[in-house]
Amino acid sequence: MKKLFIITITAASALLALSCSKVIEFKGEQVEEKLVLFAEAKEGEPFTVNLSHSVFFLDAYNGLDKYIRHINTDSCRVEVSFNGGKPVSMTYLPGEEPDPYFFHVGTLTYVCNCIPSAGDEIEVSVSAPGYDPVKASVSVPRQPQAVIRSHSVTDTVSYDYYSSVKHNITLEINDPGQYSKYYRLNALQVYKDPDDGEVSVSGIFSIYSSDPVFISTLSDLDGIIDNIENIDSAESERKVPDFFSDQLFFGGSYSLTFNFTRSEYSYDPTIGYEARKAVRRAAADLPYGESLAILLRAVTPGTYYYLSSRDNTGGDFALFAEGSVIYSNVDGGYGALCAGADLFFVLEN
Amino acid sequence: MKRLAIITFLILASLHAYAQRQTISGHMTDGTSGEPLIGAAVLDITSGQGTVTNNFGFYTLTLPAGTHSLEFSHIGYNTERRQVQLLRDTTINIAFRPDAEFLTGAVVTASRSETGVRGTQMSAIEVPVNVIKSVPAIGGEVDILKTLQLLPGVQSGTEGSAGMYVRGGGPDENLLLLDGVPLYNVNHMMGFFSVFDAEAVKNVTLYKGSFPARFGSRLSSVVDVRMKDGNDQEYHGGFTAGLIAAKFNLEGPIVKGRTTFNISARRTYYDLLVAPILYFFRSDFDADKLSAGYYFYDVNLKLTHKFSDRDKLFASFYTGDDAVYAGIGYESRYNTEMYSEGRMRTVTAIDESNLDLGWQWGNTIGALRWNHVFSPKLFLNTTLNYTRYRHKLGIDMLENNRYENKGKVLMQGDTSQIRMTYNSDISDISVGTDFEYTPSPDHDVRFGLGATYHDFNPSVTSMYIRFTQDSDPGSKIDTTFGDKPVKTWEAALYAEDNFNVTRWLKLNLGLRYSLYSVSGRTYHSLEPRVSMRALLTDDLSLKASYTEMSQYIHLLSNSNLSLPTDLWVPVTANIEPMRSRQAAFGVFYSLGVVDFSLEGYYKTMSNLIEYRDGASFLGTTTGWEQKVAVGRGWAYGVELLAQKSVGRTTGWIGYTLSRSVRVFDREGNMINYGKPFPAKYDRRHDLSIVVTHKFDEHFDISGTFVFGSGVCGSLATSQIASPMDGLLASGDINHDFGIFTSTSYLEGRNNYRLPAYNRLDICAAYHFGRRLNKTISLNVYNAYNAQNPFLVYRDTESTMVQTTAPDGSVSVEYASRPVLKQLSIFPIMPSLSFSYKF
Repeated sequence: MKKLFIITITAASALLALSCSKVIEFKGEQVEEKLVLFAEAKEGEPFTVNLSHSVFFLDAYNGLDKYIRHINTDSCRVEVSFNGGKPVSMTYLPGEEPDPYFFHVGTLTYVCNCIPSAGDEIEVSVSAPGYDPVKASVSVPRQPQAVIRSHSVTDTVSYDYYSSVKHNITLEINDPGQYSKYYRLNALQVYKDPDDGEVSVSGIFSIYSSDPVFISTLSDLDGIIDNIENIDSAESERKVPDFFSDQLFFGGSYSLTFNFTRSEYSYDPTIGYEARKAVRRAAADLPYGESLAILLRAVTPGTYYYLSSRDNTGGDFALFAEGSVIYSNVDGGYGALCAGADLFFVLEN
Repeated sequence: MKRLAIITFLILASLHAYAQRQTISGHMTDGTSGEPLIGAAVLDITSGQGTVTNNFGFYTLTLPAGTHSLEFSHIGYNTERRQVQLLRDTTINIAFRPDAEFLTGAVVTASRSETGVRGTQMSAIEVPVNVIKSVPAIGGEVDILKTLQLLPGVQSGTEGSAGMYVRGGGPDENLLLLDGVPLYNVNHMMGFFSVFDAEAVKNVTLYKGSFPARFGSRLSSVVDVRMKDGNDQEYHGGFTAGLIAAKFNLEGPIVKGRTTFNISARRTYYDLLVAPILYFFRSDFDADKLSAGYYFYDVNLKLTHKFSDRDKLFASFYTGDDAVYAGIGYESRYNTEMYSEGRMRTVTAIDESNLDLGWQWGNTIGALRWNHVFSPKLFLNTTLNYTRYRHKLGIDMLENNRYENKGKVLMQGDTSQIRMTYNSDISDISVGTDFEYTPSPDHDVRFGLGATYHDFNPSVTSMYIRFTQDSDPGSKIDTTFGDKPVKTWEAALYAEDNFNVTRWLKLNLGLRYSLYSVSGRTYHSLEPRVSMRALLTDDLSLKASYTEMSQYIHLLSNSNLSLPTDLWVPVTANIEPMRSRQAAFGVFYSLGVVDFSLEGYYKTMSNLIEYRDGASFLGTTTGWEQKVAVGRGWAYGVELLAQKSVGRTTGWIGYTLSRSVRVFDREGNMINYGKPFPAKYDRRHDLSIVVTHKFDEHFDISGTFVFGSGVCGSLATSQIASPMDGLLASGDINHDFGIFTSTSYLEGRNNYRLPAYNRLDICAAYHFGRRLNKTISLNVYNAYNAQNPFLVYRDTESTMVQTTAPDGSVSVEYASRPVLKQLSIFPIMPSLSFSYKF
C-alpha cells in the first residue's frame, strides 16, 4: 500500500513537473551576411584592420575559417583615408593559424604604413563581392589630461602566508575642452625583468570605489567573497561597493577617488590584451623590478559604446538579463572602428 | 412686464413640477443569503426610466409623484414587481428569490447594466462568478484572472508567465482591487493561479478603457473584485479538494440579519506529499537532510455589520504567500583520539554542512469601510485600507567542523557561514471617501477624494559572511546594501456625471486630478474622462470614449522571464509618471440572447521604462534608476466579442487583432538604437472560445479553446568574430596578433516571434446529493497536449558526419550543428476534484 502510494505520488509529481524541449524550425527573417570590421587607431602605432563576415546562426559549418571563407581576398578592397585625404589601399597580411583549443577563429588582417596621430580623422571603407560596402570613421583622441593628486597607503596586513597593502588614490582628470569624455581605468602590477627588459603584467582585481560615475555589474560573486575582507563594514553600509579590474566610465573634469588592495591574491592574470599592450608600449620608461601602476585610457564614444555593449552580454546572470544589442559604428555592416590614447602612472616601485 | 410675468410663471411651474418628484431608494439583496446584489436593475415601466444598484447593492431612482409600476430584476433571480403610489421619498428593499428555471432563460426587461448596450460604459465587461466557476481550470482550481484572460483585449503572455497585458499595456498597468484595496502581485505558482478565491467573490468587473473618473493610478485596466459579505440568515460553506490544493469556505450570521462573516482559505499540499518521498530518498544523495517543496496559501475574511438601513460597516482582510524552499544537509561523525585537558581522549569529530534556499512572496491587505445613506439621493462610502506586497530570497550556507566529548565542544574547527537575503517590499496606507449623488433619473453624479502613503523598499540585500579557523575569530562581514527606501504621497479628487442628454444620447463626463510627491518633487495630473452612448434602437448603440490616465509606479520586469522578483518602484525626481491617452469607438448590438460588441482603440503611452540592454534585477548593487531607460509606446487594435449568457448553452467568442510598439530614442535612454521595436507581448491575433453546456441539473461540460500569435523575444540570429573580452586586437610591436572568438550578435530587441500558442481545456462536472451539493469535476488542461513555447533558445546537437576520402575510405565523425529549440513546460494535465457544500 505504501509502495503504491509512493509510486502514485511520484508519478503525479513527474507529470506535473514534466517539460519538454524540441528542435523547431526557424521562422523569422533570415539575416543576410554582412561584413564585420574591427580596428583601433592609436597614436604612433601602425593602423591595422581586421575583417570578417557575419554568419547566420544556424549555419552548420563549424570550421575556424567560418567567418572569412566567403571573402575573396583578391577582390576585396580595404581603403583608409586620413583627414579627408586620398584613400590608401591596405594590404592583406596572412596571419597565424587560429588556435582551436581556445576557440579562436580566423579573421583577415589588413595593414598599411599609415601611423595615426592625435586629432586625425580616419575613415575606413571596405568593398567585397557579394556584400554591401561598409564604411566607418573615427577621430583619434589625445592623451588624457590627468594627474595623481594623492596616493596613500593604509591597512597594511602581514602574515606569514599572506600580506596585503591598501592603496588610496585620488586621480584628477583635467580636460578643459572636454575633448575626451570616456575613459577606461586599470590598476596593474608590472614586473620588468632586469636581465632582458621583458615586462609581464597583471591587473589588480578589486579596485573599489563608491564614486557614482562607475556603473558596474556585480558580475563575479566569488570575487566579492574572496575580497570581502577588504571592505570596511561601516564604510560599506548602505553604500554601493563596486569591484572591477577594468572599468569603463563616462568622465569629464573631476576627481576620482578609488582604492584597491595589492596582495598575492588580488591580481588578475587575465587582464586584458589592451592593458598588456599599453604596458609594453611604455616598457622603456618602466623601472626594473616590480611596479604598481595606473593606466588611464581616453576612448572615443564609439569605443565606449561598443565596449559597454559587449560588457552587457553574458555574465553570471545572463539568464535574467536583457539581451544586449552590440553597438556598431560601421555603416552597412557590423563591428567597431575604435580609437584610444593612454596615460600611464607608476605609483611605486 | 408681460414677458417677465411669463418667465416667472414658467420658472415657478418647473420648480413646482420638480418639487413633485420623489425618490425611491433601497437595497437589493439575495433573499436567501442577504448578500447585496451589484448591478441589479429597477425599471419604471411607465416612464422607461431606471437605474442599477451600486457596489453595495444600493439604488436610488427619482420619479414624478404618482403611481408607478416598478420592475426589479437581476440575472439568476425571479423578477419582482411593485405597484407604488409615490407621494414622498420611499424606501423599497428587495430580497430576490433565486430563479429555479434560470437554466432555461431568465427574461430581463429592465435596463441593462452600465456595461451593456444601454450604458455609457464601453470597454468594460462584467463577468458573473458562476461563469468563472464553470470555465475549465487547472487542477480544478477556478481562477478569476485566467477567465479574464479569455476576453478580447486581454493577453496572458507565455505559458507559466504571470501578468495580464491589456491593450498593449504592461503587467504593472492593471489596477487590481479586492474590495477597493489595490493588490500588487496577484499571482500564485508563476501565474497559474491568482490570489482571488472564487468562493469568496461576488462580482468581477474589468475595465479596459473608458475608465470612470473614480479610478486612476494605472494606465491600462481596472479589475474590480468584490467579496461576498456573508449569509445573514444561515450558516453555509463547503470544501473542495483537488490534485493541487484544498480549500474551504464558511459564511453565516454572527447576529442574524445584522452581523455576518465570510471566511475562506486555500492551500496547496504538493510539498506535504513530496516531503516523505524526499525523506526516503535522502540516502541516495548521501544526505542527512533533504527537503524541497513549493506551496501557496490564501486566507480571506470579511465581517459586515449593519447598524441600520443607513449605516453599514465592513472589515476585509486577506493574506497569502507563495514559498519555494530547498535544503540539503550532511553530517559525518567519527571517533578519534585527541589530547585535551591534560590527557588523550576519545572524542567525536563532527563535520557538518548545510545549504538552505528559500524564496517567498505574498500580499497582506486590510480594509475598513463605512457606508452611510445621507438621503435617498446621497450615498457615501468611506474606506481606510492597508496593503503590502513583500518578496524575499535567501540563501544560508554553513560548514563547520568541531570536536566534542559527551556533547561538550572541546575544540572548534573551521567555520564558514554565508547568509544572504534579498528583500523587496511595497506597502500603502490609503484613506478615501466617495459620494454617489442622484439628483434626478437623468443624472448619476459621483465625486470623491483620497490619499495614499506609499512606502517602497525596492531592493535590499543583506550579507553576513563569517570565516573562522580553529579558534581564531577570523573575519566577519555584516553588511546591507541596495536601494534606499522611498516614501511617497499620492492624492486624488474626482467628479463625474453620467447623464442623459436626450433619450438616445447619454454622456459620462468626468475629471480626475491627482498629485504625487516624491523626493522633493510633486507631479500633477489632470485626467479628463469622456464617454458617450448613442442608442440607435433598443438593441443597437454606438459608443465612443476618450481617457487620459497617469501612473506613478512601475514594475521593473525582465523581458525574458516574469518573476515574483519583479520590482515595484516609484517615479522619481528624474523618472516622470507614465501617462496614457486612449480613444475608443464601438458598436454594441443585442440579437436576442446574444450580445455583440465590436470595439476599436488607439492608445499612446509615455514615460514607459524598460531595463537597458544587459540589465537585470540581479547582478548589480547600483540603483535601479541606472538600469532603466525611459521611452514611449503606442498600441491599437480591434476587439470582437459575442456572448450568450442565458440558456443551457452559454459562452463567448472573443477575437483581438492588435499591435503594440515601443520606442526608446531619447539621448541617454536608447534601446535598440532608438528604433521602434515590438512590445514583449505584442500578439497580432488572439482568439478565445468558451462554451458551457448544462445537460441537466446533474451534468454539465465546458471547454475553452485559445489561440494566439507568438509573442516576441530577443534572439541573436547572427554570429560574428569579435575580439576576445571586448578588447581590440591590433598588431603590436611584438607582432602579437589579437584573439577573436565567436560572438552572438543580436539585431534588435524583441526581434523574433515565438511560435503560435494554442490550447484546449475541457471540464466535466457531475452534481449529486440530495440538494446537489456534491460535485465531482474532471478537468483536463491542454487536452490535446499542445507543446506551447515557454521560451526559445539556441543549442547544438551532435550529428554523425560521414566523409568519403578520394581513396574510398569512409570516416565517420561527430560534428555539432546549431539548432533552435523550444522549451514547453505544461503538457496535458488531467485532474479530479471533489467539492461539498452545506
